[in-house]
Amino acid sequence: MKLAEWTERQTGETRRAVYSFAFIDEGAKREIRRKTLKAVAIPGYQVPFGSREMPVARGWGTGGIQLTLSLIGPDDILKIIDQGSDDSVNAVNIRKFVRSVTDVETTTETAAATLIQTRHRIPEEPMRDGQILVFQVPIPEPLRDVEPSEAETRRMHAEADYSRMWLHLYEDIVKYKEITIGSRYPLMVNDRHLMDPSPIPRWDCPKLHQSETLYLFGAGREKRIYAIPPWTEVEPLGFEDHPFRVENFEGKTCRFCGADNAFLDEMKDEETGETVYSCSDTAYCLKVLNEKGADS
Amino acid sequence: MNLPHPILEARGLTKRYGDGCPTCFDHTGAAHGRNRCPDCGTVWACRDVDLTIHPQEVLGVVGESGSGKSTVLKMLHYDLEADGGDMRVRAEGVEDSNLFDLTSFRKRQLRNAVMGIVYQHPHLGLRMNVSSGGNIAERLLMAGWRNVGDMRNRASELLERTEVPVERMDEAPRNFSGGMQQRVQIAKALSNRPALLLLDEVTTGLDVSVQARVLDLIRRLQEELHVATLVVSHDLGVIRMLTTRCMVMKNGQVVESGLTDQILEDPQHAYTQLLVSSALV
Amino acid sequence: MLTVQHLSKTFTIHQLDGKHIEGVSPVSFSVPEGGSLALSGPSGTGKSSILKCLYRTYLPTTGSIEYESETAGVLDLATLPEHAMVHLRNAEIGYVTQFLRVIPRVPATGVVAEPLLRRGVPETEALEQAAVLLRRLRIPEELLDAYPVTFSGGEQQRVNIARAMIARPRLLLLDEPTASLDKASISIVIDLLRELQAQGTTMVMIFHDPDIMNALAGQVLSVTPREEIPA
Repeated sequence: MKLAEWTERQTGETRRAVYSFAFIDEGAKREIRRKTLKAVAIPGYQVPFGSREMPVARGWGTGGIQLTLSLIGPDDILKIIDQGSDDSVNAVNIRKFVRSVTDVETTTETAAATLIQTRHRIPEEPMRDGQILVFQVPIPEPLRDVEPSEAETRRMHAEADYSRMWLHLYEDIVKYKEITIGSRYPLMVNDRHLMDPSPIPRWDCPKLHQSETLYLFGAGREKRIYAIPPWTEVEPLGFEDHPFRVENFEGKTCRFCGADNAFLDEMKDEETGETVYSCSDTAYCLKVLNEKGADS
Repeated sequence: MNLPHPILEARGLTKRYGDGCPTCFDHTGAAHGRNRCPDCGTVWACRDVDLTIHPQEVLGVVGESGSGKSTVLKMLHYDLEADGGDMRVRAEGVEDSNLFDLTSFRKRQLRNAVMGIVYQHPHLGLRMNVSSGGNIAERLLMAGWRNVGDMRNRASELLERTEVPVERMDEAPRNFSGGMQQRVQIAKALSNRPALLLLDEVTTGLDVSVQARVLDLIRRLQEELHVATLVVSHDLGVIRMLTTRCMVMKNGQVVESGLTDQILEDPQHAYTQLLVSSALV
Repeated sequence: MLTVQHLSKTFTIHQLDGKHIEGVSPVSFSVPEGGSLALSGPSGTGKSSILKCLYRTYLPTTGSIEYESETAGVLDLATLPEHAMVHLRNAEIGYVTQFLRVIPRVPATGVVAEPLLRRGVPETEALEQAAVLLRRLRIPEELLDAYPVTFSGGEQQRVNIARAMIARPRLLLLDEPTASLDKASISIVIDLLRELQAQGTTMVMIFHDPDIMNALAGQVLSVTPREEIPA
């Protein structure tokens, strides 16, 4: 949509007319889209991009926001989640912001959305072809914890030399008898690049493998975009005798919807003091509850 | 005589710091007693060095500090980029071309698969905060090992061989004595069954009794494993004990090479004569 | 088997302004296969230096040393590439002096077995052979696993001899290996060397004791005193 058309569509709210559709200027969008295409072409490879100033501070989802704004069209249906919740302050404010600069429809239903921006979770409901999931990424470099030097980590990626990460896992097993990485679990993408999936739980990692959906990762502060295109091999690192495994919720169910196949948050019941669990993905929880209500 | 082909052949190894000038060679080298060109300031750390190592052979390089002996070893291990020269290694899976021309990716692979190195300073060869077993595992991981149990078995076998108490396998070398750190380094160097072992002043800085144990270990491993080895040392005693052939370097050049007992008993070059007559042994 | 022509050795001492010291005046001789040659003459005539040239511990200054090797025909030991010389030392040529120069902290059996190990004999077998030979040389049982540096001069010499003989070299160079042995030990050594000779080992030797020399040598070469060359 051209800026003129957009301006024309404004109904009296002239104060927004000074912005392009979706806030950032068309030149910036083009640059981000080009970098996104490159990222899709090289699955798991971190593509540097000219991260713009956003009306929120870096580190608050600016990478994800820029991806969302460069991708979104007037017909998109947007969902924003923060650690599974549509209602957290961060999610609500980003949703408000994007809507105010695009007027797109928003939703909390995973299946209804065409574009989802997320912080630290992948929705429980399986995503499908035609949807895009945008991740907010704090630290795009999977090797950062084992190697502080950017020059050195770039060399390691260039040479596919990931022995340091493997060594880190080995040492973990030696010290704790298991791999203790909870989130940001290192993944091998397309058998070539080691990738940081952002701080999603291990639970979500298998969803990235051979998926129908396009996954895009944006790190605003670190100025990196990377991607997992649909139908890509994504393999969490693991040893033959200490394979990758997801969190174990055996015998635990959501206190609200009773789900036993979702990632659960653990909390203390304030009154009774006992440990209780609930779905981390609130939209999913609601959906299960509604379906139950419809059944009964 | 049906002699095996050399396992390592290096020709014209050269390393310089500076651009060089037309008169460099008129002022530098063993004959001039310096390796820094007074006209242009270029330092010729090592110049036109040839060396050959045969299977099972232990070759020594001896010389004072600054002679370029460690530079030679570090170029062979790709720790330093060679400014000139040709290196060939005859081992399984190694291309028959100048190995200095490979991509850095391939160099890394090759180094991990074919070479083992022990540095004078353990912190160059070991990750001090990673367990000893992990240090060994790192090379195995690089070679594609993906079974923790297998790696631990191999690590304990190597540590036993190098006389490091196996029960300290999960301890970081940071906590170890200098001699024990050296033994962990040796275990790490041997982990991938290298075709070529590079030893850079491995006993320098250790107490005499510790030195003796490390040397004994190297010699014993030599007898058992027959791995072709390059020993770089300023210590003629080390050269005498470990090597069968050796080269003498000064100011970046080889001034003499021969059978080790011949170099020690019938040195030809003035510098070697001085070196031998100065030795305490 | 061994033909030496015009072999000489001159040392140049650079620290003494390039002073020349004559080690060996030009000498020629030959030894047939299985034969044995004794070098005789007063001290300081360069007999030991000749042996060292043959073994390449000294680089000959002039002349050739033609050696008929087992597998590669006639080779000139004066100019043979070093790694080939190493191979010959491991496989064919033994050298023994009156001084024990061995690797420290290795037990006597290990010292003696080493040449066998280098030829690929399995360790247990090599150590066993070494023990048999050392016993024959009357090394006390309790010393077999001790370090030779702690041995008496005579014991050290016997370890040395055992080490040189064990692999039955085709050419054996002997430089006064019996200098401090008692009579009984000397006769054992002579017996052992004769056995080697019977098996075809060629020898070049230096023995001051004329009895030993006569017992072992087929021919004797008198080495003449060297001349001083003005620097």
